Formats: sequence, structure tokens, C-alpha cells
Amino acid sequence: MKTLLSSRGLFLLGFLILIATNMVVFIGVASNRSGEPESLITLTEREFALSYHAYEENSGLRLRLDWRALGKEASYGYTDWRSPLWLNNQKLKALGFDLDDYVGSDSYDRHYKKSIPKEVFIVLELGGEPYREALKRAEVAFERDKKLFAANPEDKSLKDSFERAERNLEYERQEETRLFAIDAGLDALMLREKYKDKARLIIAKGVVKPGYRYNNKKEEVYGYISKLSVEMIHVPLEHRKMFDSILDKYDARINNSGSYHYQVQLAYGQRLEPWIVSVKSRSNKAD
Amino acid sequence: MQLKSKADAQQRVDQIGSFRSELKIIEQENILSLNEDQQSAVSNYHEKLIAELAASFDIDANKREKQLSLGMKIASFLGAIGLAASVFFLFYQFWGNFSTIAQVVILIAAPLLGLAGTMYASSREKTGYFSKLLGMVTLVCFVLNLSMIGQIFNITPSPNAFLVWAVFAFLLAYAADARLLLAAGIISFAAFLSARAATWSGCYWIHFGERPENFFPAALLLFMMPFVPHHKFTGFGVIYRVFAMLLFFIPVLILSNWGAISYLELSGTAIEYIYQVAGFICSGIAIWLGIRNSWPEVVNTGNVFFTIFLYTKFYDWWWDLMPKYLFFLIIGLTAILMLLVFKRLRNTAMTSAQEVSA
Repeated sequence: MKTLLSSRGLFLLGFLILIATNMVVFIGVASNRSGEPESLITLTEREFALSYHAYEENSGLRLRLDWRALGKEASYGYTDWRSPLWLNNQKLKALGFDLDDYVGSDSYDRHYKKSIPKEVFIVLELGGEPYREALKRAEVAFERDKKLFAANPEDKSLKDSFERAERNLEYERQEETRLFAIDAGLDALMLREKYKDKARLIIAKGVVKPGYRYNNKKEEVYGYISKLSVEMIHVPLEHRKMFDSILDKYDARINNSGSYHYQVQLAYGQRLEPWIVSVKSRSNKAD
Repeated sequence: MQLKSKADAQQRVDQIGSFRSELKIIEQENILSLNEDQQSAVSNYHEKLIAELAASFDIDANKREKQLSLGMKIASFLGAIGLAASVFFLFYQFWGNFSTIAQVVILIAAPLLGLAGTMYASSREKTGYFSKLLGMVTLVCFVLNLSMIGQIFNITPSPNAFLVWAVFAFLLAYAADARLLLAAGIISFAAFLSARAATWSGCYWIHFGERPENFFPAALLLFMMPFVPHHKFTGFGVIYRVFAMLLFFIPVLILSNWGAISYLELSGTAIEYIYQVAGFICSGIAIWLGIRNSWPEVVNTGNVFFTIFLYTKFYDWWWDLMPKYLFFLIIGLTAILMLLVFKRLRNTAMTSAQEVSA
């Protein structure tokens, strides 16, 4: 014991800690990537955003997984993309949030106590019904603003609204992410039982918390997905060439980021941790 | 006489210096005069003792050495911080140009080499400046090792990383007798335990800071640590106690002003009152405990927080009600009152010390 606690013994323990920790980490990485991936999905630049800001002092490259959730459509056309309709009080309770004395409390500050974020499993769907609904909302808004503008062509604010709706529709059709959070749960296996398509549905860890707002003078609790636990995906050197050539051609003055198209095959392993399997450039958006 | 730490050895050398100065004055005042034999016996004994202590510990034998030693400590501290930051940014600057295997090899090899260097420096150099400096760089390499491998393999963040960083920092701190590494270990350990405390209430660990009470278990545990004897290590007890008190009093201060973020199932105002009272009582206890056990750092930290709690309350009560001159007059008068209380406490302590010596 005395030898172990001597300066030399402590240094030797230090070596042991370094080696053991790295071994544990790599056993975890190997177990994540062993066997058939939990999901294997092909995403494009719409879901996998490349950061065009140059970080001179960081030579690494990471892609941001872009996702959203279909929220309530407010009367003025705004949709909350982080607060899905399905994340209601019932779902929040199922996720382990105690909401009993949350709404209708005399004290406004109670929601701070209850609003403890939790890590849960989130199901993300590529190009499913929520995306079609988002597209439909953009089309309806466009048709409405188009009619209003046609009836009053002199009205500048109606013209602005029409142009904005047209841009939004185009953006929704061509550039906006089609990856939507569609469900959440505490058991990944049960979620996979329910959502079987591994090429279209990802199960990932994410952080959920209840929010608190006044809606039509009524207190209301709503669910909010604040982030995915792993949202930035590292690009290894073997897949960087294509991204580096895009970044070389990028011109911040004309913002030509929309003219580069690529697809990325992303796998999620047994521990629901992702990695890039392959990358490929596409000649146009329709590929 | 068996001295275990550098601090004890330095204290003994300082004591010899004071004795020599005082003896000189006593002899000048003709109160006492040692004959030549006695003078030479005392002088030889002291010289031999200083030489022995200097051989075993890196002590400063005189005032000039002390000043130089302070300069070296500051240089070593700045060097450790600078080199650690440099390693961090160096890796960030170039890591993207390496293959995954090369990145992994560099990340694992860096702390291993750093540790070997620290061990070598520690065995070769008595002063320990270089081993402490290398130890800090090694710790940063290990932090980089885990955090970058986490990024490379997209690993879900875990609070356990703080635990292994804490254990590693503690090992280095105790092996190299380095307070800066001990502080790094304490911070990592506090982050780990607070994150764990947060997960006990179902919270996602990264948000542990949103509930200040999560820091209390870490504060308690760290305050207890110096009760395990630390004689061999210079100033470790002080570092533990100061960090423990910061980890306790800062959350109490926050909760005494913002009760809504507490775990307690009471109204925000009631929680604020509870923590205000707790703040006053605990800082008072800290001052008492510090005086009783001769822990000046505990007395000072208790004083600082007692004053902050007091002035925060004054601000709440009177800032809007009173003209500013009156508000600041009360602040000044309170400070004078506290001065008088401490003076009285000091006099009482001196009287009891005299009674004991009599």
C-alpha cells in the first residue's frame, strides 16, 4: 500500500488510468459499430448542413444533422419547428415528466422547477407525412397570399407577403430538411418495434423538456425538443475530399451554397451513435 | 525531528531566522548574552539543520531566495497554462489533416508521453517546477484525448469523463505535490458529482448547473477531504476547504436570490428566505470553525460571504427606499461594526492565549 501511494506508485497508477480509459472507450466504439447497423439512411445536403464559415484554427470538419418537428401552425403562419404536436401533456407524462401541479399553479415560477430536461429516445423520419404536411402548409400559404395580392396589386405589404410565401414554398420544396422528429420514448427497442423501416427511420438520443406559455390568456404546458445528443457528425479524412472542394468553390459574396449537392450514407450503431459510411456528390437536386 | 512536508520545513527555517533576529535584539538590549561556545553550538545546530532540510526539501533559506522562489512559482504557473493552451490549439490546428488512425495514435500517445516526462522530471528535479508544469500539460493532453475521441467517433457525451479526468488530476497532484493540478481535479470531481446528483432527479446531466443544490454533495465531500491527513502536501487542505466553501456558498447565494430554481417544493419566496438564513448561519459557523481550528482561509471565505449576504439584503431592503448617501452610510457603519466585532474576537483570543502561556 505504501509503495502504491509513493510518488512512483501514483505515476504508475496514472499510466493504468490512461490505458484502461482508452480501452473502455474503444470497446464502446467497437460495440457500437458491431453487427448490423441499427439504422442506415441516405441523407442529402438538405439534412446534412455543411458549415461555410471557415474556422481557421480548427482543421476538423463536422456536418450538422438538420432536423425539425411539425408544430402547431399559428394564425399568422408561423410554425414552431421544435415543439411537435405529438409532444403533448400525455406524451410528456409518459416520458417521465411530472406535470400534475404545473398548469394552473398560483406561482408563475413553478415551471422552472418542473422544467428539468431529460434525455430520451427520439424517432426521426425522412420524407414522411410530417414533411408532406409542411409542404402543404407552404403551398396553402402561397395560394392564399397570391390571391390576396392579385385582389390588391397596389398593396405593398401584400406584395411582400406574396413574395415571402413564394420564397418559402421554393425553399420548402428544394432546400429545407425533410427529416422530422415523429415520436419519442424511453425504450429504444419498443420504438424500433413500432417504427421498423431502418432506411427511413432513425432512433437517436435527444433532450426533451416541457415549456410553459400563455396561449389565448390560458396557461399551457408544451413539449420541446431542445437538441439531439449527437447533432454534429465528424467527417473522417477519407470522406473529406468532396467537402473540401465544395468549400474551396464557395463564395460568401454571392452565397452559392445552394448550388452544391451531395448525399451521405449515415449509420447508427448498437449504442445509437452515428458515423458516416459513404459520401457522394450529386449533379443536381433531383438526383 | 521528523518533518513531512516542504511547508513544515519552510516554517522551521523561517522560525530559525526569526530566532536569530530576536536574539540579536535581546543581546543588543543586554538582556541576555550567549557565550562563544553556546553561540557556536546554536549556530552549528541551525546550519546543520538548514542543510539537512535543504537537501530533503526545496526550501528558501533566506529572504532573497524566497523572492526568487515566488518568481519561479509564477513563471511555472504561467508556463503550465501557456503550454497547456498551446497543446490544445496545436492539435485543433492540424488534426483535420490526419487519418483517423493517426489522430487516435497521437491522442493516446500524447498523455502517455507527457506522463512519462512528468515522472522523469519528478525523479530528477528536487524543486518540482518542471514536473508540475509537465503534469499540467499531461492533464490537458488527457482531456484532449477523451474529448477529441468523443468527437471523432460521435460518442454520446457522458459525465464519467469528468470522473476519470478528476482521478487522473488527483494522481498527478499527489505524485508531483502540485496545487494547480489539485484544483483541476477538484473542479472535475465537482462537475462529475454535481452531474450525477442532477441525474438522480431525472435531469439530463449537462444541465446540472440549472439546479444549484446539485453542488452540495461535492462541497460536503471536499470539505471532509482534509480530515484525511495531508501533512506531506503543501497547502492541499487549504485548496480543498476553499473550493468546498465556494461550491457551497455560491449556490446558496444564487438560491437566496432566485428560489424558483431550487428542488424544494415550496414557493420561490419561501425558498429565498430559507437560503438567506442558511447563508448567514453557515458563514457565521464557517468563521467560528475557522477561528477554532486555525484555518485562516475558512475565516476569510466565511467573512467574504457573510458580507456579501449582508450587503445583498441591504440592497434588497433599502436601495429603492433610501437616498444613496444614507444607503452607503449604513454600509460604512456596518463595516465599522464588523471591524469592532473582529477586534473584540481578536482580543479575546489573545487574552486566552496569554492565560494558557501563563
